[in-house]
Amino acid sequence: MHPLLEVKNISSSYGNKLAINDVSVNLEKGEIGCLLGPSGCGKTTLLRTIAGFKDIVSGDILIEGRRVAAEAFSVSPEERGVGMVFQDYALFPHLNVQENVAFGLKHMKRSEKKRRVGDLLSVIGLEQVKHKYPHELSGGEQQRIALARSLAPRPRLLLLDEPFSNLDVNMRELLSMEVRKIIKQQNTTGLVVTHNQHEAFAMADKIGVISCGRMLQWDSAYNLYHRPCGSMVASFVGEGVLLPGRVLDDHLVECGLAVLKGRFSSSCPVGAMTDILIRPEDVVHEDESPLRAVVVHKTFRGPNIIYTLCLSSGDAVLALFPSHYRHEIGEEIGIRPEVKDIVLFKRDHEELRRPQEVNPKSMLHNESECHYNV
Amino acid sequence: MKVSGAISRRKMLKGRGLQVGAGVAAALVAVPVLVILSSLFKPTQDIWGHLLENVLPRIFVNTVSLVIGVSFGTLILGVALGWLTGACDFRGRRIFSWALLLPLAIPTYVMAFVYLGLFDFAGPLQSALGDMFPRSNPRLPNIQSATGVIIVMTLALYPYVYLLARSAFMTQGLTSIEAARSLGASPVGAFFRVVLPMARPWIVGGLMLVVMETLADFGAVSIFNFDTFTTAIYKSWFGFFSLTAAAQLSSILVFMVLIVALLEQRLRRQQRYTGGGGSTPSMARIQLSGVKAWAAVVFCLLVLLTAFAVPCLQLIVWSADSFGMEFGTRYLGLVGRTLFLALAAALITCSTALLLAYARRYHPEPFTFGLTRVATIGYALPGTVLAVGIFIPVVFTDNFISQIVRSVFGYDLKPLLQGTVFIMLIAYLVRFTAAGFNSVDSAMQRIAPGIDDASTLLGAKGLALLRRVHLPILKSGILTGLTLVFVDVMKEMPITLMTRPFGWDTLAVKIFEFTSEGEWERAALPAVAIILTGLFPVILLTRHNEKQFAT
Repeated sequence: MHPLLEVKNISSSYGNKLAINDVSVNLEKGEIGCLLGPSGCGKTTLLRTIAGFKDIVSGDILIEGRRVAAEAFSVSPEERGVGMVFQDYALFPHLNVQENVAFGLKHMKRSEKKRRVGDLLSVIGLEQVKHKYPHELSGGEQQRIALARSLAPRPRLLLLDEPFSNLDVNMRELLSMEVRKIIKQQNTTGLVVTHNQHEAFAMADKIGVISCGRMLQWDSAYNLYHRPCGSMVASFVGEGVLLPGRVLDDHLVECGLAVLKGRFSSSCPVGAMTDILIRPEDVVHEDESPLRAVVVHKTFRGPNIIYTLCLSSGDAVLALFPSHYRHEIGEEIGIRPEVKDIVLFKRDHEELRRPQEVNPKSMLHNESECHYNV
Repeated sequence: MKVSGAISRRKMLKGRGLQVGAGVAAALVAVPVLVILSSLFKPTQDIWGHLLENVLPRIFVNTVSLVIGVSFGTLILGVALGWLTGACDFRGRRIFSWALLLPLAIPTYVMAFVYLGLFDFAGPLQSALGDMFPRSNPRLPNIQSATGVIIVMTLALYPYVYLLARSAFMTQGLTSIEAARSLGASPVGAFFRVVLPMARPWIVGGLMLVVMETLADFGAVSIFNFDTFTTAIYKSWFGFFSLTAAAQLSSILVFMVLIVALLEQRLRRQQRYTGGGGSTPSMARIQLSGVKAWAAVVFCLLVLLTAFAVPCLQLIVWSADSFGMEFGTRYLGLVGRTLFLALAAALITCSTALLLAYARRYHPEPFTFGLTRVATIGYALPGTVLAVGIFIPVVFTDNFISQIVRSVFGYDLKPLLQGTVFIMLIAYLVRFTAAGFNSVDSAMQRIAPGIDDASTLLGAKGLALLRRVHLPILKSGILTGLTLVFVDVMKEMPITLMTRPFGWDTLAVKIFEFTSEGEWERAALPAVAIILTGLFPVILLTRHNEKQFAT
């Protein structure tokens, strides 16, 4: 049995510039995949090559084992059996909701068409607007109509290009769960492009992190967060800092925070210089701890507060404490590292980093640039 | 709103002067329309019976077939060219996309007489054909026919459809096509099921403009001797000397035009909703290559040649031939009078437009909106109709005044208003207020409601506010309005012809006189002057489009 979607080592370019470079993706039937990456990283281009709107210069794309694209070969979009939800929804303004949803239904009796449209509208809960025109609908409604329209012809694969980017935050979370439910319920396979990791976590079975046209890691959400394959992925998924450190032993590594003991994510020779990923939840509050740190910044997040702490080494770490632990900026507090699985990356350049001052740039942020300093 | 702007408004403009001004402007338009419409119920004369029997059926059929033919022609040309330059990409596409607007600079009557001259028995084409086949000496088809006038007017008017269709295709982008194809539609299917229906409000909007121009056209049809309502109105006034018959014919034409104008305004409201995605208009284009690209270039080139290059070349040749004879103090006098009229009309019209725009700004009430709507509907009135509609009340007023003078002072007064430049300018004002108003008002929209209050707080109010804030923002809009009206008046034919005082010939009137004698060569020099000035608004238009789409 073939996987539903196989993207094998494809590259695609705009002029001389490679937009995607040697990218592979695999999706089993019924799975929802997510392409995550900063804007301009090539994730939308990847989606468009799968849909058939963009040619590839090398590699293969197979849908249900049938080749749809290769070098100098392309099955036209309408014959791929692939549905797409566009970023701006691309609803047809001259057609009402019902007609929009029915657009892709062919070789069907009128009554069958009507039933299919009615079914889909009830699935998305918008039967009451079926005679309205797109401009009379809210953003969220338009989004759901676009979803229903793309599902109507029962595509083998549904592509969603930043489907929630035009909606407000509350709407996004609600809809991303709903869309997942609908895709699963319609028994189709989905591939979603997003730059928002919360959306990706909420929807996807598998997530691919893309940067500068390359697929960095294609994995489950858990693995992306806890076993990132490189500092780029670590920086794009979740929060945290990378502390410079030195390997002392098979299970021991020394860094500005402490000497940490635990299982290494990748084996490193003794004495090697590494970057160690410290997530905010790896730092625990403990008043009596001899390890002291100064609060330099804090962000209230409701159930907890995220503190930026300056260590005696000069390094900064993020720490997530329950929100009833209230500390003022400038206050010195006791902390304890709690790291069982140590995520470390060998440094390519053996430069010795000076104990750095607290510099927001050394923090890892979600909205990382394409060329994050690695 | 009321509270925030109240202080500055009260200080700037006391009372309702603006609304009174807008009322006067609206009345100037309303009076001729009402006069024309009321003439329908006037007792008929003998002449009307004659018209009804012998003239009306023919001009009705002629007018309707002309409208249908020109609509069809401009639809095909405009949509095809708009699609090629708006959504596709091929070598030369950028140049074609503005060059294809150039025919806008050529008035229909100039296009008409150039082609009549070209296909004339003694014209260049026939003699070339005779030289090539001296034995058989084949004859060119006679283009002085319904088909001929339809083709000529199509060539002159297709840019209206082209312009709107192109901008519709450009704003649509390719997302809608992609969406259709992801739902299983073929490229051709996507074009007819999605692209064309989405662009329909724009395309039909352009067609409505074409229909109005066609209904209003006087010059081209009279040069082709193709009798329509406009020529019939002219003839019944200047041939049968029956103002009433002219007014009655006008009333029928007004009905036709008003229906079209109403449809057009409704469509413009629809356009707001059917904007496409328009996310990446300049990036995503359909790349044409090979035979397709060549076919596109040849097609665009062919249209450009027949609609612009050939007529211009012919005019230049004729002008060169007749230059020695035509150019002189008389010609310069002609140019001077035309420029004077155009400038005076542009100034009066744009002042009125400014007044209307300010009235809307400071009295944003339905009543003011109604007044400006009425004041700007004049663009829909064909020149011949307007001339009749203005002349009747003017004669009435003159008679009224002279009666009073006779009864009070006991001597005969010469008509005060008839045949004066003043009346001519009023007629221009009524006809072209919309052209000025649209430019001025779109500039006025850019002055946000809060700007007056903001500048008052910063110490600029009253005249300083106008000079330092309003004028700089409005300047380009006013200039555009001035240019548009100036050029419109320069090429205006029927109003000038029918209301001018003795001796006030303009370039357009001279062209009418020369062409009615079949003297194409002598008409060329005035035509060149009109086309040269007509290029200015075309340049303005392309600049505006480039800014809008940044391509």
